[in-house]
Amino acid sequence: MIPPERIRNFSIVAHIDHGKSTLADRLLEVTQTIDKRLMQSQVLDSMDLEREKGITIKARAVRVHYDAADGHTYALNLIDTPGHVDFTYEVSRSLQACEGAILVVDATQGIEAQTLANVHLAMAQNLTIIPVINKIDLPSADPEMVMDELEETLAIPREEVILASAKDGTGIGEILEAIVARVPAPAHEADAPLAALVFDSHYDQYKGVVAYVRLASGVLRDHDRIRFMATGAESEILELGYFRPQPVPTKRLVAGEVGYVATGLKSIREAQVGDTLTTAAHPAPQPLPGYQEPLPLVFAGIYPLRGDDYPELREALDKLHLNDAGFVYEPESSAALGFGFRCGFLGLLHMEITQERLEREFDLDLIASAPSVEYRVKLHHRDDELVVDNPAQMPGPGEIEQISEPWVATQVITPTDYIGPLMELATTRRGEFQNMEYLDPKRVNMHFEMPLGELIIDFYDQLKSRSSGYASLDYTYIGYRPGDLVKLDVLVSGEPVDALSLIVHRSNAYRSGKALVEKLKELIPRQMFEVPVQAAIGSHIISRETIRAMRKNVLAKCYGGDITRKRKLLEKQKEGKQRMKRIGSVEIPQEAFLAVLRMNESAG
Amino acid sequence: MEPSHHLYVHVPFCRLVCAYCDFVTVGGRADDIGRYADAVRRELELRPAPGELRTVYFGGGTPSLLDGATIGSILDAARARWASVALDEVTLEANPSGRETPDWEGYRRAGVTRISLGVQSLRDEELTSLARGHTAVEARDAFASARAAGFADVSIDLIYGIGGQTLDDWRDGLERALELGPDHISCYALQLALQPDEWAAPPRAGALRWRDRMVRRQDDELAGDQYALAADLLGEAGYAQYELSSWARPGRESRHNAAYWARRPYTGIGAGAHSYDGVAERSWNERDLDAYLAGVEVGERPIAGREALDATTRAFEAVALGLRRVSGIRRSDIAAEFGEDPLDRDPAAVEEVVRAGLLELDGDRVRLTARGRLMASEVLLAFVPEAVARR
Repeated sequence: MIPPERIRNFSIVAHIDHGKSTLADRLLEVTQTIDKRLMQSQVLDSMDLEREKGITIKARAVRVHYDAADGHTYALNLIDTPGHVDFTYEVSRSLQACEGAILVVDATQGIEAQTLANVHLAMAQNLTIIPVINKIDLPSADPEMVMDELEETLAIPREEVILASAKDGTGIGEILEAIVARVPAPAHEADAPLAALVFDSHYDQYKGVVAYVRLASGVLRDHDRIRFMATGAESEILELGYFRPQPVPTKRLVAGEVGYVATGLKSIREAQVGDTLTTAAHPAPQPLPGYQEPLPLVFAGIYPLRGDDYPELREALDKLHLNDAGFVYEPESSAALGFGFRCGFLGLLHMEITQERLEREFDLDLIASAPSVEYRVKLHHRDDELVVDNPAQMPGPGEIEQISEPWVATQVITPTDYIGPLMELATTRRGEFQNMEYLDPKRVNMHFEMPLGELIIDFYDQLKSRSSGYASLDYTYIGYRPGDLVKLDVLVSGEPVDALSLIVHRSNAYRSGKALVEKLKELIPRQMFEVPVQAAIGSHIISRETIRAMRKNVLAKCYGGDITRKRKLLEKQKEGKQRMKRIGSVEIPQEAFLAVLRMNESAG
Repeated sequence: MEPSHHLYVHVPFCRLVCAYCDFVTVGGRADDIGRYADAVRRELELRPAPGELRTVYFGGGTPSLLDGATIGSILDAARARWASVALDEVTLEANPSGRETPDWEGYRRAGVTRISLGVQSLRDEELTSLARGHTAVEARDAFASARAAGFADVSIDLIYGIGGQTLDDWRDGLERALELGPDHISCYALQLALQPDEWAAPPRAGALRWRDRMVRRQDDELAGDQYALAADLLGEAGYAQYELSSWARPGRESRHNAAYWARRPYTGIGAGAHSYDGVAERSWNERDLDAYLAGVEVGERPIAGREALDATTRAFEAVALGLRRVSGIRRSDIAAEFGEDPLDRDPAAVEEVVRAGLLELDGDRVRLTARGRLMASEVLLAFVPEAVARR
């Protein structure tokens, strides 16, 4: 067994595409943790979806045995981190499980703003940073420039920087030596009661909830009865082990080590990220700091395209719910879309990923309504508040005394060139500017408070597009504030489409209504009839567009050789029609229901 | 009396393959014409010859690349093959290029009664933009030569919906066409296949690029106006519309084409040609010229595929083809044949197209309205069987 002083726990912090996964693969390969021939590229990204989106959803920990130059064998635990604003809390827990972080920067791109938030997070937790400039084999690599940047923005001395190419293996040995030499060994109070940080968990069909843990103190044995301190859940251990990268069962884990615990628990809500694992027999006097309940902030209706898929959708949501602590759902129905579910997510990306998983892994055709937040509505002559997370459910304007909405504190890190456009973006979204600090002469951190409802509609995309991709965003929920909000309804051919309703600030109602009907005009194909599309507040129409009737859909020729072909063409057209949702006599494609997301493209 | 039967002979050769065309065509293979004619005669021997042969249609490609003697030899082979022959129409498609010299006299002698001339436009700028390889003057000359050779029944094709072709351009083209005095006019909207599909000849890369450019210049709204204008002008000039794209002087409707729309049986001979037994089977030949030739030369019909039509599909085809005709369909006919009134399949969808003013119910008759003719596919969707669309 490797003694605790020869354990190193570290993460890799990198911008998408800067080579995190390739570097991880290379570390595993060089340390012969996996056979090169058997290696499926990018081991850490286990889901197809992650590979395509270039993000990592589930953190994992892999133990690597490294024979260092000093003649000793070290156990290096690589703890992976998710890379998006929705998962900031999960990232912080992963980093809390480490003593060091490898900062990977692309030699051709330079440091990108998105990485900074995570490096700052790592620095705030006193992690040792090992700066690596990757992709130096590329002809356009400019490591000098990147070293200047690291020095300026993060005060990282150039002599600490390792030049590497994960692709061709340059610098990998140096990185491994730096992990051994620079990252401190974990503190190991093996005699204290067990306190282990849960930095990730997932649900396994056979083993129940599997918690990924970092032992801060004590010893965990495979026959211990365990307790999760925040939730109070207790269980026997089904299996204890670590990953290399395949699971390796073990009899015990000691303070400083990283591993997994299969608990047999039936719900991931019983062993959540950030919780502290201890033994039932000798519990730790207090949990490790920093636990937070996952807080769904973004809500959307998810409906099966075909009504008969409802049971399959329910089953799929049940499965996802088991495995995703941030995801909640309950049945709802819509006049336009039929029976479906109201779902809550940690953020917008979390929502997108969940929808894609439903469509891909469960082979479901879905319609999702525009995202919303949870409003608190005070009605006249009533004391209690109504909670509304679906705009369609908002009572009529006459009944409402006051609506409150969730606010977030946001920080936007951007090169100074984009201060103007981003300031404008934030203020048009009702952002209240707080202050701004210079990270270096060329980069600032701007602080705003803004309604979350404004942030979830296309704000992130706008932020990226107005800053040429450089600005990064982070936000934290700060509480509810009253606002002058109104419900905007959309009528298609005179019929209200509840799934297209949204809540907007009165001052933006006209602009939003106009943008929305214009977008719908683009997205709804021409029909046999002229179709008016209107936006209304209560009974008051504030905007109208007309989709002109289709003029021509005819097959010019149909002779002996064409009949089969043309029939197949019509069958295909019919199939396409069936993939649209019928509201009254109008066929509306799925994209239209997300129109609200895109309505600022033209306006912005 | 024997039931009528119809013969289609495909001639794939073209001097110049048009970028918009997705029929089975080959360029640069003129040397194989003789061998192909042999193969066609041979295939006739390989195929059954049921019913009474009433019409023959030489389509292409460019059948007018064959001389009168060759056409005659094919017709003779057909006459010899069928026990019962009562030809009342033999059409040949001809290309009006000055660089090709159709054998008008020869066709007459061979027994061709009707010429379908691929004029496409009588305006040079449109012919250029379609890259047709002939001028308006050449088209007029070809028309005059056909008439001079004694053809009393000459049809011309015109194309509208060409990118850049204004409503006035189209009016001008139509007026020039009427000056020629054809007996029959087909007006086709330029429809470009942008995706390869298994039923069409795979387009060359150059043709796809051409289509991509052209499609961006097309305007459905304008094409709709052009169609309506054609209906007005041709109607005033004494041509009655009898099908979505076809106008004729009284008695000059194409009988061969009418047979397709009436679901009469036909035998298709030649590369890529389709055949229908008039009941439940459609089949088609190898599209590739060499595969076709090789097949026939070893004494087998080079069949590439066949499909069995179930009653539901046949009933749908009866509606789809029937509604192409201006006279429309009779519900009682279809009910008698298939045991189901076509309007009962999806009454709500039918009601909708009626309400939209696209389909007209007139007692037993069902037909497209003038506006519905431009929206025929949209109307037909109301009749596409559910089960088929959902696979």
